[in-house]
Amino acid sequence: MLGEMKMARAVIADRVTKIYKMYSSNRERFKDLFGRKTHAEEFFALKGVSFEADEGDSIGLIGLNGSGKSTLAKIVAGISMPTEGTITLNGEPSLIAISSGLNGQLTGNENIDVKGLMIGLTMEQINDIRREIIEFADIGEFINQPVKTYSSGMKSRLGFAISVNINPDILVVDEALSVGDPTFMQKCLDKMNEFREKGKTIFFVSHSLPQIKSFCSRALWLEYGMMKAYGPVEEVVPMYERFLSRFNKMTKEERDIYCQKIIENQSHLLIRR
Amino acid sequence: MLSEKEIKIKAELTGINRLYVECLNQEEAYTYAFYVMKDGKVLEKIWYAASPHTVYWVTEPGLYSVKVFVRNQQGERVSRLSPEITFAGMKPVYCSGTNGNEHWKWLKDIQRVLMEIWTNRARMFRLALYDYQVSNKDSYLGMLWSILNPLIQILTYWFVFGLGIRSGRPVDGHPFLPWMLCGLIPWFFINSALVQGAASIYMKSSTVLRLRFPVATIPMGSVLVAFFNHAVTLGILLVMLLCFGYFPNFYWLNLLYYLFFELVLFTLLAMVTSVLTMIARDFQKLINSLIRLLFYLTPILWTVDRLPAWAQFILKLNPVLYIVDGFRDSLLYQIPFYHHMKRLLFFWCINVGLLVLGCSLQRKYRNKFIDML
Repeated sequence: MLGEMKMARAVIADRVTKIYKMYSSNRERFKDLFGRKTHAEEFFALKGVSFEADEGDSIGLIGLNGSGKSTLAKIVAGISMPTEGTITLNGEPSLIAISSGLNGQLTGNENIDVKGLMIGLTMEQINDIRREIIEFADIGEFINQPVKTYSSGMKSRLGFAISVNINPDILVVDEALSVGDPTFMQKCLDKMNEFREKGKTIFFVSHSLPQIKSFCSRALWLEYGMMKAYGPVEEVVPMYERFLSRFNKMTKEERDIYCQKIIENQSHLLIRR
Repeated sequence: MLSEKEIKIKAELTGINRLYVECLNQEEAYTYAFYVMKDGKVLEKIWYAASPHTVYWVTEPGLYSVKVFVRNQQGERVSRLSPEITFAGMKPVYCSGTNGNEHWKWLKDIQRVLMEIWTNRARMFRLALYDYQVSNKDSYLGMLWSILNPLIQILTYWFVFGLGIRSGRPVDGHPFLPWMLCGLIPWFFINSALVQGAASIYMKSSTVLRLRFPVATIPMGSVLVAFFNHAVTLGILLVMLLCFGYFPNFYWLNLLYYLFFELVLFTLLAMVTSVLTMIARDFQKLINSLIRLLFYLTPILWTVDRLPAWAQFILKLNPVLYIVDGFRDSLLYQIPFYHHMKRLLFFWCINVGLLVLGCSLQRKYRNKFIDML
């Protein structure tokens, strides 16, 4: 069918801006609660980020620490809302992060139940996917132990296994692979490839550029909250690599000056209404 | 080898800020290098490679040009500067910082919250049921504790207040134990609904806020868990009443109204307190200590008949007493709920006030919870 051939837009971000208010005290926080004017300083985590992603795209989010990658990942996963601008998600998103959203008091099995119930499955539906999840996580007898006894690798395995097997349309992976061993990482990448072939959209936050280059079709480069580049991996990553090698050679002072210069340039682009 | 004049360069700005440069003299033997220049200064050097094109992402406004170098296998090289390209700068970001004022916002808030709860009622109910089961699972005696725990408390209070202080005298012709139970059983619910309701969003934040979940259902979900426990203790109450020779009659059905009132009141309260707890954890500590006060200020274990009239009136403004009186009216005194019309209207007015406040707080902070941890 012709309709199936056409790629559909999975994610449309339109001038997504995220502002965090930094209160100096709880008093300021309460003033804000009652709608009074506060002196809270505003921090722009994202500044007017606009992009579109199609079904089947795999998009690597790159940038230095504090550039807004995780904030953008949360927004694309639908768990955080932009302060301004809009995000349109055509499909059910799922976020896989290092802090995997598991409840430490409950056992692995119970966490599967809770997560399933939370996304709206019935107990029968959960029992149907349970075997697949346990097989994928491959943590043996620990599945019946409280999650607080797990190693960080085991947590990430279970978190990934649950998030992947609830069959999301948009998968957001935020550095979740960095704690797994190479075997498990390969398993995850295979699973993500399988997802991509099914026409699902994947957002991938990673500091490992080889991983981004081998897995992603596009890259989105964030610099202090603003989108610097968005295009095919072959076009964006080489420039980012050149930037990194220059940046790594800089002294602490040079880096501060560089950062200041960019933020100053950006501040001309932020217009208060 | 080429001469400088022969080099043909295609340079263009595409998309928002993508500077595409291509050398059109393409031969397999050549390698290409590029200098990206802005206002005459070199911004970036891209070293010799086989690809005849490159992409540079510009951010700052200015006059850009690219110097293209072509090198053949013998190492001879020639370069040429592309025509200048003007980049006007990135699109400005407009921000107002605050959300625009909506007319009838409070009414829309109520509608949205109620819709959210209604459309997700099955999910909320299944989760509450699961939470209830799990809360009793990590102990050896399991479900037995939801009976054992209240029983021990009942025995304590009965011993201290019934035998010790009242020396077994009946209240209004009713034995002390069933009279006390009619107050204590709803109190067990009120206690856990208040504490768990206030903590609900905070306790679940590690899991719930990591996926798209209808947050407005969480306070009600936690009150539902307390309500399931309430159903069990209500069973104890009814069995005890039967033991004391009280038999079911028409007035017992009034209990349904008071159960409904309890559920509504404490759900609405939880909607308010759960948000306040997220803003400052102090609030939860405040509730935990105020609860003791509320328990002894409410005539659950003692009678009001020795208090002056004005004090009795003030006590009547306490919704907990309304519920406790309601239980006693229905089960012991055989007074229907519509007998106290003024109190009924007063407390439903409070409910409406809480509905407006709770819904607007939920809507105002729903997207901010994740950023408040």
